[in-house]
Amino acid sequence: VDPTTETPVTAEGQVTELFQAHATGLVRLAMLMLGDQSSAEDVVQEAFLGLYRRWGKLSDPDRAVAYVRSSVLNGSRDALRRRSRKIPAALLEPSAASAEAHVLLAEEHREVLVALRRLPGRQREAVILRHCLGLPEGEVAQVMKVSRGTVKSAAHRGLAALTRILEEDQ
Amino acid sequence: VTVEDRLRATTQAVTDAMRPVRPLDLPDERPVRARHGRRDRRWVTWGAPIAAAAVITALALVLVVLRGSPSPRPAAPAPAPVPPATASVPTYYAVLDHLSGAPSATRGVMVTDDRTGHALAVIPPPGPGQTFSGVTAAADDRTFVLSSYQASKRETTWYLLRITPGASPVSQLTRLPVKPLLAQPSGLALSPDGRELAVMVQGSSLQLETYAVSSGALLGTWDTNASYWIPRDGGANAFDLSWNADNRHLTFTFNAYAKNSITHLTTVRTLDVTAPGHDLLADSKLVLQLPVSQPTSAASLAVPCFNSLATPDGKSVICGTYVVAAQHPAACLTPPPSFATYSAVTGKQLKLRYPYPAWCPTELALPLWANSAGSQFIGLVSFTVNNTGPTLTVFGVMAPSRLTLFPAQDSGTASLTQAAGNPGSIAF
Repeated sequence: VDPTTETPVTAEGQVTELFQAHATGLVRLAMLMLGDQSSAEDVVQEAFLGLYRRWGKLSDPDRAVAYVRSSVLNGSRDALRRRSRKIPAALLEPSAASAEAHVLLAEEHREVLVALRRLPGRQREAVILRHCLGLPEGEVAQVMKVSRGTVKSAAHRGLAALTRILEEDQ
Repeated sequence: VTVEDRLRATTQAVTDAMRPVRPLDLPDERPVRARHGRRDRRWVTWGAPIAAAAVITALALVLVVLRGSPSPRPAAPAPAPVPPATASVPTYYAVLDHLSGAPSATRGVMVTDDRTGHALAVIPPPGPGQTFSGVTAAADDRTFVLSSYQASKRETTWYLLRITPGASPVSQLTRLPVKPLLAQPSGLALSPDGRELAVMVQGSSLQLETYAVSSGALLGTWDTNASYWIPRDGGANAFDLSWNADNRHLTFTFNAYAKNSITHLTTVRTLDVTAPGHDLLADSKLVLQLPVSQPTSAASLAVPCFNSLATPDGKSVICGTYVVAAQHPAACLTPPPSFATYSAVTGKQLKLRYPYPAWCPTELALPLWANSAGSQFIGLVSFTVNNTGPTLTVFGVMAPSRLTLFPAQDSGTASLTQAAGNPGSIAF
């Protein structure tokens, strides 16, 4: 029971509260991975639906945000896999890399998004989580379910590759 | 500038470009049991049978009275005075509307008289866990088809809504025999004669299907594996699907990738549903092609055909613009939100209509209904005055030289504003 309102604390209420607090950040993560807000929101909705279904089984609800962040990352990977099966690889780069973002963003930002899409999966995830979203290495490791050392090397290699791609494109 | 700086700047730009995230849609599969006190349980034991008996008695009385009455339709109330500009436009429209007391993701449908702004009927979703997700209308000003989505089953079912102003009940909702869809539709359009329903679905390919409304029979299918994208945030009619007045041609928007270029194109195509063939692109005709976006200044972009509506005679297309000014509000001065009419024969712009004189960071124009030649149409313009201010919505009849606003609507600004971003959530 919420002591301030004396209303029962329900799973729906708690999950909705978490959604309201973190949805924007998580959609941003999925947008950086996928390129368009519509797909990003679908992934985030799915992640919160999964959280809601598992709410009673979560051993530590305080770690719900980390759980749902991992789910968003997994959902984005699945969406990219589905997309790559659907669209010929040649079309994925660079023009199909992003949809909505291409309309809304300035050229220099589009270049960065296209370059991100050209990184290998693990490097791209490490760069987005560590450098775009500014998560500490420990949290990135938790979300990606790898060691901190792996995060460090993937982010380092990702940045180097990204620099090279952006320089080549100029 | 380091690559880390560029990443941070791009992340910020992505954040700025994001529209508000749609609300969480949780299913009803895990209802939370409310605790009942002893008093509540006692009431249930003796109160429920009495209430049930009272309902049955009332129902029986109503049936007896109805059977004895000569006509179930009382005379329609005297019509309100109609401004000349709105005399020949449809009177009723249906819009998805949040129901008070319902979960945030649950939408009912409100049928409203545009001339008075008063609600004629409010229809809740047909069952628990369902929400209306889209609406389309026939040309008789009385018939609508609704899509209802159940998140727990991931299933869309179809309902026919008929309104009879002045009668009781004023609306009748009937489930259609059209097969349920295991997805949310991305396009829906009821033919002007109300006999056929066209549905666009994004699956492993982009599919268009037409169904007979009366029997649910599948009449035609078309699909394409070509790459495409949707500029807006999805919605029930993301492809601007609409029928021509001949009940034979369907018009839709297809955002394609230009060959050998990173430029994207908005294309508007027309398909003859009686002609042979099943290829959505090869068997349809290109009637309009525009670049998706045109930079208007260093800080703004205009999408010249963000929303489109073919006129019923099939000779022109009305486009609504979408202008985004990410950094400098003054950038929004050029161009203002507007509607433009293009020839479906030559592709050339015929008229620029209703450029709204306001500066704003984001503005969006949506054509909703047009008369046969498009000389008169109903449109909706949504814009924000500044980065933190409320969204304003202008809604009325556009004619070449003037705009006639509808009065304040019972459906409220929130529903109309939401409709501006989801063309499938409002229908005339």
